[in-house]
Amino acid sequence: MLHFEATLLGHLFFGLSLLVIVALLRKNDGLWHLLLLGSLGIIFYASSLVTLFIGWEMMGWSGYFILSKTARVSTLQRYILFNLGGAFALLGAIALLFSFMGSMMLCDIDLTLLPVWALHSVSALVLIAVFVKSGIIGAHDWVVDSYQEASPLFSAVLSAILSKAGIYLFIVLLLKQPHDERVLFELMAWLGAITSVVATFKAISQDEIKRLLAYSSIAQLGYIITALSLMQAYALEAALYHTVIHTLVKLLLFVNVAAIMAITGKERFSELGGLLYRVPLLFVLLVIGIIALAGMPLLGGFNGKFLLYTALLEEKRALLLATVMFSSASAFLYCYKLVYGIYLGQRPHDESPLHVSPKSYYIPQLLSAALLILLGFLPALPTPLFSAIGVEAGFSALEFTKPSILNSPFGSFNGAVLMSAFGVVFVLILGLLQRVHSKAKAAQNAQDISYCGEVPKAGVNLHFGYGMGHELGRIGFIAFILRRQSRRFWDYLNLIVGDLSILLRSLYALGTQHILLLSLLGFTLLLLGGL
Amino acid sequence: MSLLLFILLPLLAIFLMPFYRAYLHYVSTVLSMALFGLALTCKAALPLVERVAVDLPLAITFELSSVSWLLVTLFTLSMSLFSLYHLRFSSNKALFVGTNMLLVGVIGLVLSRDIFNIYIFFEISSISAYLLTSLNQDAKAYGGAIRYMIIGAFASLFFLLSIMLIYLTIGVLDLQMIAQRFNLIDEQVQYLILLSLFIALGIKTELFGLNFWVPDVYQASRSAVSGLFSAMLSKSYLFLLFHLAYLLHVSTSQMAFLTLVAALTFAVAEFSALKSRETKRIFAFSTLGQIGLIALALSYGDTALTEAALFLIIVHALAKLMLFLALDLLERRLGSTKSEIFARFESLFLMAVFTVGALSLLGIPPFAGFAAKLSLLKGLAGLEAYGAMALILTVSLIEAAYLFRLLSGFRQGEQKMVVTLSPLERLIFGVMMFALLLLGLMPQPLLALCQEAAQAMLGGYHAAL
Amino acid sequence: MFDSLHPLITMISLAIFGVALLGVLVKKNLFKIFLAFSVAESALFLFFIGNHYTPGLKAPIAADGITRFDPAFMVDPLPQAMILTTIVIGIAVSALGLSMVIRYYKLTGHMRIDKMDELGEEQ
Repeated sequence: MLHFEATLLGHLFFGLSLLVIVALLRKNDGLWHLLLLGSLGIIFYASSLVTLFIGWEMMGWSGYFILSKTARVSTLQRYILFNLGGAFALLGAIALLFSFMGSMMLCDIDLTLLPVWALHSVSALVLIAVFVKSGIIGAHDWVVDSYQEASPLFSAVLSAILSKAGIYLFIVLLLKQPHDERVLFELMAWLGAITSVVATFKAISQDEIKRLLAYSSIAQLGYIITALSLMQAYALEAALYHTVIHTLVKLLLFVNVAAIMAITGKERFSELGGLLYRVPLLFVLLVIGIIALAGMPLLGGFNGKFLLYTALLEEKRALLLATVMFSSASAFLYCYKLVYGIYLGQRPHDESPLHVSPKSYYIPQLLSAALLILLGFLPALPTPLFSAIGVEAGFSALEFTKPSILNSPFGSFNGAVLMSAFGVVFVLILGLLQRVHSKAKAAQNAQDISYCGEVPKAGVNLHFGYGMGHELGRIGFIAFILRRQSRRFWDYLNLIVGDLSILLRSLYALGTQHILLLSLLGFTLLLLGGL
Repeated sequence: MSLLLFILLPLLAIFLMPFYRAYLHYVSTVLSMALFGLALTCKAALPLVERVAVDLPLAITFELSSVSWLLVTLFTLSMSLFSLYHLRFSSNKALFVGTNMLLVGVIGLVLSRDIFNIYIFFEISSISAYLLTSLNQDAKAYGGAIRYMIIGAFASLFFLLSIMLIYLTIGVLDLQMIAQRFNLIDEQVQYLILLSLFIALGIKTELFGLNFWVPDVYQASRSAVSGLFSAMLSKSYLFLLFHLAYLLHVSTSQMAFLTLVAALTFAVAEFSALKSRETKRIFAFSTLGQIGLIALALSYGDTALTEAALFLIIVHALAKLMLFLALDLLERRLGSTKSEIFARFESLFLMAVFTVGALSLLGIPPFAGFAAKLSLLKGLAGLEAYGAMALILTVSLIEAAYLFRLLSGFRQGEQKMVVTLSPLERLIFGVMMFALLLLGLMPQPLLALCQEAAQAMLGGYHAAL
Repeated sequence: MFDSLHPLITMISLAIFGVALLGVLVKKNLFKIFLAFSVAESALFLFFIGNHYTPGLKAPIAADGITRFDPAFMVDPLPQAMILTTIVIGIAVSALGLSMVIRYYKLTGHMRIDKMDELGEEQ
């Protein structure tokens, strides 16, 4: 029943899963996590559609049982219904493929044999599964609540790994197969771009740290989806690169936040602040994380974005490029909020002593930070792997000279040089600042802003991260974005289905004689109709 | 070795009841396990045909084909599990008589090759079902049983009518001979016969339009008894309805009508369960839904789909029996079957039982329900019945909504009652869970049996199309 | 001339059947409903036996000179056997039904079908 095959793509995704889950493994629900890892292994190494689906469903419900330890019932229902909805769409696609191919093996799939309507249906059904798993806008309703209510470490798993299963599915089922489906891919490109814009602004306006990270995760997957939809060698590299980076970054950030939540017991920006001096190492790690997240040059994060931009340029998708760049630039705002809201700014007036030592949280973060820095120095390190995967998928091989030089159709850059130059400049500026700092006076009181003409009382929060994002509501089109909620649609759907259920249920409350009368009427009508 | 043993042994056990009044639960267990063993030993000798009395047309024929073998084995297995579960409780006369008569009834229904004989087993199974429904002896139970009886009596009128019409027109009762001569009947009378049979068996099979009484009966009965209804009674009629349909070569449009009814049964029942707060009714709706699904598969008259349907019959019987027995356990400890009880107990083992049962019902891997659903979808894909595929997948989501709502109850509630299971109960449920897992991981052996049975069941139906 | 009895018997039994079904559908008293079912069953028996009766044939009794089973020379005994069996079953079902009605009456103090509301969602 189960068929497996080792592919480079499988190695890549399973390697990432292994890294994340082993780094996060704890004793209390280790068994479930291992089951989850097993199901991911089934997905990534499956060579038949059935095997893939079995892994897919197991991933869904083992996640459900991990989540069920912390999340509310309504969140759990959302999680399972969206995921099963995606899974059933996938099952539909599999059955449809089977009806044309007569085989369940991945290698036997040939999308060019499908008639147009079947190609559209299969692509649409697979895309539903992909979108649900990656939380593309509209199907993201389950994502944010689940991430927020999951245990801090499981949020990391959800964001870093489970959301990537959708990407894998897309590559295996649609990207690897030659076909001429264009309409849905165009739609997909724009959905990805719009997702990244909308989720970015939603992220900025969040007060809960994990909700911010959840939206950021959605936005990042939006880039990946856009990259994938281009169906081109460098775009595939961009998508895979971004997948790797996002996994590392989200691992780092969620563990960082988990550490903060564990040591302070708080999870809102408005309750936090000024932790820099208490946990400086966490601050440094977070900064590394957000540099990569924002896609600023130097660390690994830039490489994926660089490839995406150039791929978009090469495909002459200017509007798409502009949208992606816009959201990418806006992402700085929430990155800033993350740094400022937690580590900088004013200490909360009711600051409590740290609960526990954050030491046990360092290892996964250090690991992922090290990898991010490594990718900064040697940006083309994974290129041979990506290139081979691309060749597996039928694309041309990528240009590769040496690990420190990342090539793109529009030129290349040398990561090692860049990083070294940055290092030198950084040390110089740090020394300069140190000199300036020695002459500076320490502020007596964080509330002292008498230059501005007021001295607020002790309870007033002057914290800059506090309330950040609210002002965005005044900007017309952003306010428009923030007001949209797909949840209303799903809630409405839920209401309608519930009402329908109660209506239909009343049939089963009919009196005995009414039932007999109905049967007799049916009998008579059928008799008269048939004679 | 006679097929009559399957019918005579339980009847004998009932007649001899006064001799072991205090040990009925043991007798029941030993008997049903013996019958299960007997059924297993019959496998090698299939198909077995046995004539009682003189010769055709007066003879009464029993036939153990590969499909009735599959069902008899399933019924005796279900009954064994049911009796094992009841070993812990004291000897109960009504339960003993009711369950053993039910066993006789359902086995007779699938073995008989004589329509009047089928009528007798129809009534035997009905009477025992009424008796079992009233087992609790309170107003609820009697109300449900009376409701059941009225509907059942109505169904038996129509069954009787169709038998009489058949005998009056072609003068035979043997199914094979009826099938041979059915075309000789005037077409309008043919239609009347088929319609009467549809009403009678449709009520018993619990198809849409004729199944509005089902949740009440399940609610009135004890949970364990509902499990038996779900695993045995409805399944035997499902077989009978489609066996007759194939045998009498009903027309394509009539089969399409059955497809429509089955699809409605499936969809309406699953929708109705969504907001229910009474677990027995929820499981009853879910049973109706699964029956609709099985009937949908059978109504195509296709080998692959019939194979899937038979597999689904077995898997669903196991899963539903397990769920109902677990619910019975909870009902006895907590005194209620409202869905709130899921928040009021604490037992990891029972939680696992409910979870495995629900996942299997939903067709989620790696449990057996998935293998069934997959072969069902494959079969539908082979026939290019895309509408039915879409319906199944969409409605499954509704099914998921209410089953997971039940499961999410586990983590609510503050004061939980610790429910401990006896080793025997652990063994029974453990075996059932293991069976569901095993059938999910390795469905091929059973699927092969189902394929053989599907060919036997369809007989020459396909050739006629 | 006797052949013309068959349509008459069919019509009469159909009429009785109809009346009985009407009773099943409109009577509220559980006892009357079960009674109506008995009447409906009897109507079916009448229909079957009546339509199967052919005058002039021997009774299917071995003593009357019947040596082999051949419906051409004797009245077919099968319908009678069937109806006898069915009557027995009918009695059993009626007995069970009526005894349940009595139990139900003792528990609730009524036997009206439109007042049976023990079951349902809000229990």
